[in-house]
Amino acid sequence: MIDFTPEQLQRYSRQIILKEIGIEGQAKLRRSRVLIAGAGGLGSPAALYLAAAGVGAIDIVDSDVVEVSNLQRQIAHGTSDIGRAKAQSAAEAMLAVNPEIKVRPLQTRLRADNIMDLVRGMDFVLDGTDNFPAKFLLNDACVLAGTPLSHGGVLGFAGQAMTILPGRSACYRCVFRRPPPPGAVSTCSEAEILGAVAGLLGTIQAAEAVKCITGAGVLLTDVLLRFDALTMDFRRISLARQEDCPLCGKAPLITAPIDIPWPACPGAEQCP
Amino acid sequence: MSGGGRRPDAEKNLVGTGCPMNLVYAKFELAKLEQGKILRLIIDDGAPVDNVSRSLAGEGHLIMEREQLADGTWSLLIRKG
Repeated sequence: MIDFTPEQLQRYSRQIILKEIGIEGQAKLRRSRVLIAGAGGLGSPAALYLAAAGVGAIDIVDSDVVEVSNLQRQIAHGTSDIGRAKAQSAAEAMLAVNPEIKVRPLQTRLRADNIMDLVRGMDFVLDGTDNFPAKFLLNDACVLAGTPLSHGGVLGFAGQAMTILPGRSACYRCVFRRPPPPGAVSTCSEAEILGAVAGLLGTIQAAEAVKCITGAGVLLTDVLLRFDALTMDFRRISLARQEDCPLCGKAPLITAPIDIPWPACPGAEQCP
Repeated sequence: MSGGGRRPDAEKNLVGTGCPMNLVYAKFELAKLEQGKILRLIIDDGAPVDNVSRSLAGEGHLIMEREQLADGTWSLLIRKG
C-alpha cells in the first residue's frame, strides 16, 4: 500500500509535500480510476494534469479524429496527430508525461447504451464534452451510478463548472432541467472559444478531480462557478438539490440513461 | 539522546538530502508508521532542520526532541500525530 520507489517520490515530491495530499493522498491517486469524456479543449489539459499527478488508471473517450482547427486549444494533440483518433493521440501524450499510469483510449460516442459501462466503477468522471445531449447523458449516468462528476462548459471567453456528488449535492438537472431549445444556442460543436479559456476550465476540473480523490479541501458542490475571462471576474452561484429534480429528486422520472435528439449543425461542412 | 527514554520505532538519515526531498522522505517514513509511533531523523543544520520541523509540526506531528550532534547535524524525534 504505502510503497513508492525513490523515483516515484521524486516525481510527485512537489505535491506529496502538500499537507492536504501527502503520501496517503498520492497512494489514493495511484489507486484511483478516472473517466475523461472528450479529448478536446477541456479534456486535453485535464488529461495531461491528471496523468502528471499520478492518477493510476484513466479512460479517455472521444469519437473524433484530430483536425488542424483543434490545435488552437486541444493541447494534448500535435500537428503530426492530424487525422489520428483523438483518444489515441491524447493517451500517447499522457503516457509521454507519465509512463507509470494506465491509460485506456476509447474511440466511441457516448450513448445511452454504453454510458453506464463507462462510468460504473470510476472514482471520478470529468465532463469535457462539447454538446448538451452528452452533458445530460453524463450527468444522468453518474447520478444513477453514484459516481462523482465534474461538469464543465466553455463558450467564447466564458466558462462554468460545478462538481456533483450524486445524492449529496445538486446535479446538472437540478439546475438545468433539459437542453435549451434548438436555435437558442449554437448547436455547432465548433463554436467560438479562446484556447486559454478552455485550458482554464479543464484545469479547474482536473483540480476538482484530485481534490475529490484525495479528500483535500472543499469541492465545487452546490455551487456553479462562472468566469468571464474578458474581465477575469469569477462568480460563485449557490445551488441546492431540488426535490422535484427529474433525476435525483423525490420522485425521479429518469431511471435509465436516455439519448437526447439534437439537431446537427445545418451546413456542418461549412462550420469552421 | 533517547527522547525521554523512548526508543524510536524507525530511523532515517537525511544528511545530504536537500529540500524538498528531505520532507518527502520524512513524510514517507511517517506514513509507514502507526499513530503515536516515533521516528528519528538525522538532518542537516540550517534550512533543512528548520523547514522539516516546521512542516511536520504543521501537519500535526509532535517534535519531541531536537538535538544538535557533534558534527553539526541534528537529531529529531517525531511522534506521529
